Amino acid sequence: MIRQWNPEPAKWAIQVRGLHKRFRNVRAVADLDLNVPLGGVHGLLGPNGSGKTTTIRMLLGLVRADSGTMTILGSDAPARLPDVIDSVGAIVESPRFGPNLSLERNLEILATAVGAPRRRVTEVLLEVGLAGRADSLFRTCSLGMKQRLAIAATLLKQPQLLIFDEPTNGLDPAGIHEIRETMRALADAGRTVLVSSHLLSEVQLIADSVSIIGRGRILAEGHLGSLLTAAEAHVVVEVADPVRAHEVLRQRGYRVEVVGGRLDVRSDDLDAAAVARALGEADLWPTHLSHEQASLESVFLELTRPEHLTATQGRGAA
Amino acid sequence: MMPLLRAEFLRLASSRAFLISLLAVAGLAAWLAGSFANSVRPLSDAERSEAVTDYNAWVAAGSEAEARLPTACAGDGPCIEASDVTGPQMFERPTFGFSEYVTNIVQQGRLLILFLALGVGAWFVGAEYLSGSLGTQLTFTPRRSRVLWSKAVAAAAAGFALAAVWIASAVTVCVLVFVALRGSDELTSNGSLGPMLLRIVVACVLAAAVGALVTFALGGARRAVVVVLLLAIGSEWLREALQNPWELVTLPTVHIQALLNGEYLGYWNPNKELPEEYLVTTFWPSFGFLAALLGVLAVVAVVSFRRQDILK
Repeated sequence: MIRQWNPEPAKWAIQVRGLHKRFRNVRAVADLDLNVPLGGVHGLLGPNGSGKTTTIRMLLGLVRADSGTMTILGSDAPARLPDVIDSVGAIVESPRFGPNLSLERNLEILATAVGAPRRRVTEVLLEVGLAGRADSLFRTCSLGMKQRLAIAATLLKQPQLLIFDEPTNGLDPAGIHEIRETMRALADAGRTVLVSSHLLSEVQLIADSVSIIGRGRILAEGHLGSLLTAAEAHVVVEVADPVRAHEVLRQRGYRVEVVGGRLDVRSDDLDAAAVARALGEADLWPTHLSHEQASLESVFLELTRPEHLTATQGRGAA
Repeated sequence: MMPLLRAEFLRLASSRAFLISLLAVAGLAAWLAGSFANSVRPLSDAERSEAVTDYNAWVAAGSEAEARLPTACAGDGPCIEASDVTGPQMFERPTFGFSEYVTNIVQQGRLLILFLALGVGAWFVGAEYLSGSLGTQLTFTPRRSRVLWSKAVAAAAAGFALAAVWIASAVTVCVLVFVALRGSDELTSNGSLGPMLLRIVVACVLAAAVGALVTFALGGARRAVVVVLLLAIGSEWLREALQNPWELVTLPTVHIQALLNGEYLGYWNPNKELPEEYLVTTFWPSFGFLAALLGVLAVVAVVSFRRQDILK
């Protein structure tokens, strides 16, 4: 597992150790360790079925873990979860509320249950831009409105930690932008936001740190900048004779892969000009040469490749 | 616990389905009371003379000596005993007093209301499993036992409301019909009417609580209703098959009937002679039995609900 916490956060909002969960014959989460620093936006990334939602459900006490330990804001979960639940707001998967109740009444019921004052309902509806639709029935609302209602619900308690599971699912670009801005604003106001998603570009825009999860285990975690810096940059080359170019670059000590007729060139100390010079000296003239920086997407795709997952699983088993 | 309870009452009061079921219950009570208005209508002169004519014809035919006197009964309600009726009255339409009228109406629909209370209790919890709003609530209030108790109490209150609306509507319409047809002088109640109405309320409260708790125990309303109905059918089948009083007192439906009627009478012929009627149980022992059953069910529901994975 890759860990890139530089510097190491002073406090953790969430810490998970050795978490396991099986649903009958399906292993949903396997020996998962997770750290979410206090403050900022932390992305929990993983392909569909990787165990993100199950992990969040276990953190919130909705699903019982088979084994492992979890702490949220310093309290053991789920045993001591009621002690800190007033500081935790969460949306798990798609928003679920009473379908035949109005938006306002849905929030009133939750506010009453947690002892929040009635005026808080009006405040949060205003905050998420739903004040004008307060009387609409939940089942008649668009997905975007439902997501905003869910965010409003999490704000009823004025939480320190917000957990959003796939909050932009099904939203249009404007809705995605809106949710992204909301999450960033919440983090800027001093709250910790844990957002699980498979929309990497979205997460890269707002996250301060990320954890990448695959097949129920953590593959990498750390500050986003540190992870991207640690990931290898590479040079992409298009040339008329890729077979000879591959041989030339390999002899010069580069690690080269041919991907779709292009050469993917890597080394510990990569210099695009040196690659071009090496090819030119062999009378091979690139029609395309670009220096590609690592992105969250490339890191994610590299880590969640089946071969990589199988290899890490093998190491884990060993 | 109190904020949770307030929230559940708010949810109940906001539910259109529940309000519609209350209106339906009120409408049914009013319709039944109206349908049976004829049973309190005073006899007209034409009806009296027709009865006299029928009686005279019957006497002339020489049937009086061997005739069985008709007995006027209304469902499970009070009967006008045959021995009370002589002469042309035998051929008159029976007319009920106010208490008999109300008792008749309320008892006509009490099983329906009981099942409705059971269904409302199951629906109140089951709808939240179905919509997933239970999971949302648990992210706010993760103490599952408290969530269960607050919902079970609210469901029981829903059962109370159903029974209360049923009785209030029936009594109100009965009073209006009775006063319109017979005047207010005869508007009196016998001592058994009040306890009978209270017994229906208690039964509906228990039924709704059972509906909610079974739904928690099984994690869904459909499963809960099916299981409860199968158990009720099984218990009724055994009630018909069994005669020994010590076997009958183990059956829930025997106690439900005792709860509704104030007692349960069985028939037994241990010596292969004519069956003898005997008292199997009365209200309080049956109330105790059903309360104990509810307690066991509550423990099962708490244990089951605390172990459930909420995946929606």
